[in-house]
Amino acid sequence: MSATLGIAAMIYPPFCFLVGALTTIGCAAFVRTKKAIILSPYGSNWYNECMRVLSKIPTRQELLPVFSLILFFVYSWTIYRMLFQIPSWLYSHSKTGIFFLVAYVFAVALIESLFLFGFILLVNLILPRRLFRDQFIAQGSLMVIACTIWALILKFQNASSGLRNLLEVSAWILVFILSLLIIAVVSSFLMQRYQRVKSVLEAIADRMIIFAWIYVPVGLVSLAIVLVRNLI
Amino acid sequence: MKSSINRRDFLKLASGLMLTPMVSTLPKLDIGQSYPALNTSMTIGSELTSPNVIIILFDALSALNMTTYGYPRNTSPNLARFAERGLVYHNHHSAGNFTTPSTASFLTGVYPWTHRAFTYGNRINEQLVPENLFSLLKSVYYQVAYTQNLFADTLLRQFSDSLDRYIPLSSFSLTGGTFYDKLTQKDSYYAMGSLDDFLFDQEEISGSLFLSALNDLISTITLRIAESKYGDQYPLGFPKQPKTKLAFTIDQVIDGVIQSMAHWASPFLAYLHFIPPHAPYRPHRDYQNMFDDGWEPVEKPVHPLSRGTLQASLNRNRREYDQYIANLDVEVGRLFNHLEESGLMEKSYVIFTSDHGELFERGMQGHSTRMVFEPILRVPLFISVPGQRLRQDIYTPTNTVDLLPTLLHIAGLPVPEWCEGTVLPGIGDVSASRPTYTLEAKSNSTFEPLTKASIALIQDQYKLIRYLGYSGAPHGYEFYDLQNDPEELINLYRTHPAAKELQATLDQKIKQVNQPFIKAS
Repeated sequence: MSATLGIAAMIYPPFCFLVGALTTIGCAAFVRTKKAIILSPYGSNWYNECMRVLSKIPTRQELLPVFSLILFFVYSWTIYRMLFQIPSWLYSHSKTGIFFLVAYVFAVALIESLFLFGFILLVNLILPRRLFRDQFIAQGSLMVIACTIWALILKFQNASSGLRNLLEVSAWILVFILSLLIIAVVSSFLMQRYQRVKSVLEAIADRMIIFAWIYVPVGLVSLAIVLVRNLI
Repeated sequence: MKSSINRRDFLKLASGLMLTPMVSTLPKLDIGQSYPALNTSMTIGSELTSPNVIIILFDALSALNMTTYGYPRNTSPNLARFAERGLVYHNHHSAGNFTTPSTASFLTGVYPWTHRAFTYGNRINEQLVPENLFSLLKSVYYQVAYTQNLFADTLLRQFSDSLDRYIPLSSFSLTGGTFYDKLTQKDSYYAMGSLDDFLFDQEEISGSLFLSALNDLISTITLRIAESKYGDQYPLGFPKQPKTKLAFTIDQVIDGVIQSMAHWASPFLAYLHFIPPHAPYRPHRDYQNMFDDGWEPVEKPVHPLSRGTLQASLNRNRREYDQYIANLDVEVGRLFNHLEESGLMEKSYVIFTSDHGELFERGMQGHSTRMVFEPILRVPLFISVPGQRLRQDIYTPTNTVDLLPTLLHIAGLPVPEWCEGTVLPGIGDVSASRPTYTLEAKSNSTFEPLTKASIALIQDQYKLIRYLGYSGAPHGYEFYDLQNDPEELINLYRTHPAAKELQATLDQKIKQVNQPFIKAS
């Protein structure tokens, strides 16, 4: 609730009072209702269902390799493209200016990594345990690779601009979701049948952890610089 | 089961309520209103102490494609009508061959080698920021600025402290927005350079892997929704603000500006910089069959610095450009009608111009070029003076850098010595023959002397072009007699007696402007 109020206050101060009031009322209602629900027969099942879903969240040891793989792809692409941009930056920005530009770039890269990571976690929560959670590192890594390939296809084909109407946009989104689903199902089958597939993917993800130790601190420092430049 | 709140629940509620006033003391990120609000001390409708100044600027509008300047196609009858009541400058040249240097010269009154905004999205030298149009005129006018051009917006934000009302770039647009505009107001220069110009670049391969794809998808969705409402009016697609996904219709932008005018205190200075007819050329459907007349311009030899575009393609693009001009001419006509009907025309200096032109010859289309020929440098300049009814034509060569001293003269303020322009003839006295310059230096560092640039010197009827550091340029110099050879077909560098004189002037000038950047050995 505090985070919600903080964000609202930063965006639109008069709004924070309304958000604060509504959030407080909502929390109060939830507090009262939760106790009522838990103690009722239906509420008990609902509560157990929630706990079951939450138990699908992977352990820290499983989350780190997948997040590291995401960081590797995101930062590698961004740094690669930055090599093309820096010559023009050198012409028109001072060294300090380039430092700030790079800070913005790395801050956004960290946010982008968290965004994709959240998407992977969402897929994990939605899909059955047998399809995803039980081989989280391998399946998560494969999902990251699939999303990267999709992103590169979109980028080089400039595909989204070619979608002529909302129907085509919806179809594209559906194809994307279906492709991820098919990949999850097929890979789950393959991993259960051929352990080597799973171990190779886990080994790749495991070797990416070093990038987390580099990119996360860089991203956090960059984010701090961006926040300081905008809030102070 | 208890139905009432117990002590623990009450304490949770109370702590939440207490947080609310504490949160309001946190630093706020003001999105949407970080510039000073309307200055209520200059009340609307108060007695006018001096005329308003309305600067209407259309991006990439070449004088040579306009009716007033003798273009064979009747592209701009409304602008011709406006010109009939004012000063018409026939030899007005931009100080740069694209938006950033030219607009910076307009707003600072100095040439690009002084303000150093050489390339796309550059800002001017920080030391010159206090010396700009808005800061110099702050004491006289209520100042309003609006642009649809991302690069011009960078400059306006640099001068924002002097503005009374800044209208954001995405105003009056149908779709989308820019990241630097939506997310951050305080650090917009670096936000624009990193987010809009790199990570989420709409025209090059962007630096973001996933979020840019999502951004593109969202932009496409919003655009398709807009098209479902207005798409039939624009079969070629909506006009678009370059380097963004901002789509707009010209009529809605003009309507938005007209509505905004009602809230400006008098006397005001309004800088209004519209994107049309900048590419992409997407006129309304009513204009798409215009100029199917078979007319073709004089074909000129392909220049070594061009992209080698075929003449047939150039002619086709030129026709679309002319259609776009015809479209915007009608909308500008509506704006002028509003100014006349509201009485603002009689109470204002109305200045119509452009930041640079557009090229459709010598194998090159557009203005992203190293070339500095007339179609890209000659821009319209009409000035309607309060009380003036008859047209006055002025043929003295003038330059973008002359607009700042002219505006200072109109406001009754002295022209600073550092200003490199002079008061325009017709407003001030006719000045003696003097050289005016245009500089293209996209590939030259802002912090280094000029070693890679195209420079045009225009004096009287003569034009000297120097290509500095470009290996493809023939001989390094070109010289034209614009009066006898307006199409710039005959290079007289080796034969004309005035060429050497102008060369000496230009070389001396280059040496002078490079001096501060030459490191002591």
